[in-house]
Amino acid sequence: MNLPELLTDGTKVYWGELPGPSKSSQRYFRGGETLITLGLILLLFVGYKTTYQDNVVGDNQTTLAISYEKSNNRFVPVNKVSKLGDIFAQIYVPRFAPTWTRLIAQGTKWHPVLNEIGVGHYIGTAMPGYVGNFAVAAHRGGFGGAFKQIHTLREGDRVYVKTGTHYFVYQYLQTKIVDPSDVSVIERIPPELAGAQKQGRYMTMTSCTPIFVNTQRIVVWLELVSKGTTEPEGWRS
Amino acid sequence: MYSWIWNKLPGNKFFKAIQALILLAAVVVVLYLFVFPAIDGFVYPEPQGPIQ
Repeated sequence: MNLPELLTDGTKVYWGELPGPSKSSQRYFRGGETLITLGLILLLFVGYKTTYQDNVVGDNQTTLAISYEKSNNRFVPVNKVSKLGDIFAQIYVPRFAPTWTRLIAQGTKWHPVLNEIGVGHYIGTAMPGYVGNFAVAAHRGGFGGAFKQIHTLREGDRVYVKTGTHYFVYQYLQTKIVDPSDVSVIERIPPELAGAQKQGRYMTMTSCTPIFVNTQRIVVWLELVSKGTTEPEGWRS
Repeated sequence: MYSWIWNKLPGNKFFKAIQALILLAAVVVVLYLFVFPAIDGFVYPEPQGPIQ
């Protein structure tokens, strides 16, 4: 208790501390602290998704692909692919990075394909090397963002696909940005692909765009130029 | 909460600041390695499009 002291000249002097914030205002301040903390945690989560998790998952996917590269017999034969997540091929895109590689699994579900393995094959589209359209999808950013650099593919670029038995080399044809509802891009003869032939052996790479916005889809069409049972020129070394 | 923690930390201001930074780093590590991976599927679920 601060009792006033009466000085000889008659002035009152209060000694001791000034009154601090009331109990209720302290309680309000704690609520503010909690909200600020939650806001910071949310910001941290954004950082986690776009950098740390992206890199860690991407590295895991690459490590998995390299472990498959060492032995051919781990791939499910393309005529035996039946269920979601069957890993039947490896993809190598030197334009992305000389070391870049991922596995291709059946289906385009996030689990267990796009998030964990990397590249997914649209069920019902052709298998690599066959007449028709071998269509695949991958994340653009987050979960390893396998096709993060898809917009850098250009004239003359090659994409290599390796199955349990063959190597396939596809050559770049065309890039297009479409609406998510435009599913015709993965048709056997894509209507928007200039000069598409009935007997063409095409490959379609699809991903989201703009990166981290994902309101549109980016599509890259390629065409088979060679196939063989031995490592083609330009394969990962 | 923060003032309570600050008062509990021993030593002078400089020493308290170092301890606070260590605590902050520990919280970030726990969030990154355990909390964020656990809540990820709820915060950012797979969108349902015309093609799966």
